[in-house]
Amino acid sequence: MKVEEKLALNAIKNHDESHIVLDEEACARCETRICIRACPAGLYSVEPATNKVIVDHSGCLECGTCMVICPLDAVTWRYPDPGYGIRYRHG
Amino acid sequence: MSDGEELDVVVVGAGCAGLACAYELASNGLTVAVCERGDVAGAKNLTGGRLYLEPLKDLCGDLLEGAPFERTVVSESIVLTHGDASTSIRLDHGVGEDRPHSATVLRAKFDQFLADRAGEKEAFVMGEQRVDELIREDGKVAGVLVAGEEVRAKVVVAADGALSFLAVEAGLRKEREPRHFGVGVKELIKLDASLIEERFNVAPRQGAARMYMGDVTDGLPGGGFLYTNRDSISIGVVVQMDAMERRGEEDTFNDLISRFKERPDVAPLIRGGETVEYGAHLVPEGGFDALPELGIPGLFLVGDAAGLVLNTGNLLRGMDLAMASGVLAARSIIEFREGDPGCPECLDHYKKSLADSFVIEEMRLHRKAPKILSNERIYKVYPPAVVDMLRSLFEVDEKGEGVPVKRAVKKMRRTVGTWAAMRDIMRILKL
Ligand SMILES: Cc1cc2nc3c(=O)[nH]c(=O)nc-3n(C[C@H](O)[C@H](O)[C@H](O)COP(=O)(O)OP(=O)(O)OC[C@H]3O[C@@H](n4cnc5c(N)ncnc54)[C@H](O)[C@@H]3O)c2cc1C
Ligand code: SF4
Ligand code: SF4
Repeated sequence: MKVEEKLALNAIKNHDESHIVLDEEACARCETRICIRACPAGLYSVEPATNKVIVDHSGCLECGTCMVICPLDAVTWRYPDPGYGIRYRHG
Repeated sequence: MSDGEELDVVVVGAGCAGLACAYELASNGLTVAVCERGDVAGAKNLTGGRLYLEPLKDLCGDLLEGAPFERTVVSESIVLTHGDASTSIRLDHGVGEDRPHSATVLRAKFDQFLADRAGEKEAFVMGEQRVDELIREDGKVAGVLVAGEEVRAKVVVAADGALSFLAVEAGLRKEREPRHFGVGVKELIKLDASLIEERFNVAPRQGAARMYMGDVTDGLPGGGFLYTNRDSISIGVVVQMDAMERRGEEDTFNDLISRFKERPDVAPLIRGGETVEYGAHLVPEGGFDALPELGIPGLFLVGDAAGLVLNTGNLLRGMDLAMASGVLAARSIIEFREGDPGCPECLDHYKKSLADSFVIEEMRLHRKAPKILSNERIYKVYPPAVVDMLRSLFEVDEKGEGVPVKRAVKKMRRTVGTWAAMRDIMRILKL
């Protein structure tokens, strides 16, 4: 099962605005790009046309892994606004 | 809420720490509000998991009366994995419904139950209330800001979980270091209760817990877990965050979990089940030596926010430590209710009672665990050595020969009989 299929099972209400913002300049010089592998939801990727690292906040599990693991402090992260984001039905 | 009036306590976070704290406070007549960012208690929370009940008998006995436990754990296994083979040690113990030692829980249900109990004691548990900032006055914390609105209280209890933005804001945690966290990822699989009972050889309401070590995490420090719930299975992995940093290849958490589920010794257990949820959460794993200061005047850290988690490889305990710390913080506040619970002495009282409790005692006892468990040999070298040795004991080759016990042991000794290995093993045994 692909991770996108699993995310589709979750109860989630995505905000239009992202609660995760990346420092593009830092990402451009980042050697590890560890966020891509570390995000359990697979929301980080490299945009092929520009080679830029991007994050798709919809589907975020709000674990905070990306913020903590980023070696360049490039992830500005907050909890989504009340009423939005993941809602665990089981947990 | 009482408009403009100052509360005795505002608790941030309706997880098990915050709710146990609020219940204790409200039971003793203090005015308390719990601000939770999720719609309801538990909406944002995820655990393995099982709750160890023995340590909470005195502290939370009343609160846990009638709690929606999934199953009482009566069957425990430690499984060493290597390729398509594994070796397990299993304990089936005689604990029953009447004498549970630990029970599996699902947080959405469990936290809602705790919130209802706290509500019965007249604590205000409020969803969709994200605390954004602390209010500080005269050198102490005097409340919190929620969407620009002030919520004032004599004390604030930060029960805001592993990422605790409040602990960071208060300067109690300078930085969140990857080496102090594990990343936990879990899938919930619906499965008929009768199938669970058949496959795990347990009676109704009884269940199993399995911990996996070895290539389930691809040899990274961490492990896999499997818990049976009433009519579902919790399966997942926890991996030390800084180990992921050290690793080069492309391999995602979903790959790990998918391979875990496909293992020949796991797949039959979950066959026919349907995945209904996929989640992730951090686990504070820094242990005793990474504990922050437990507060500043007017602010108390409890549970994950204070880093109170014990991981010894075969045990992962956070919920009982969270609930115990919540109750102990409440009791210190109650002790100072006539005076000023925001004074430094009240905080000292909490620190002392926590230090005297099983929470800190256990963490101190296992203070070396994080270091020992970060040794990759434990995951990469020993599980294959043990599995291979046992395999050779049971195999008969095409020449019709089995492997003499002596040779099998000798072969294992070549991998694990070195000084480095002896040292590792002694350390593990000391955990
Ligand atoms: C995969 C995994 C497996 C685990 N297995 C086990 C196990 O088997 N047994 C065990 O005992 N422990 C286990 N643990 C650890 C255990 O889950 C935690 O230690 C426990 O949940 C901590 O409880 P808490 O109340 O401190 O924090 P949490 O349960 O995280 O609660 C924090 C609460 O605060 C809220 N919050 C956060 N910030 C704000 C804010 N700014 N404003 C308002 N609300 C906020 C959150 O929404 C949440 O409700 C496991 C953890 C993981 C991730
Ligand atoms: S978010 Fe951090 S880890 Fe990811 S590419 Fe940017 S700098 Fe690197
Ligand atoms: S918080 Fe977790 S799920 Fe969300 S983007 Fe970061 S790593 Fe991925």
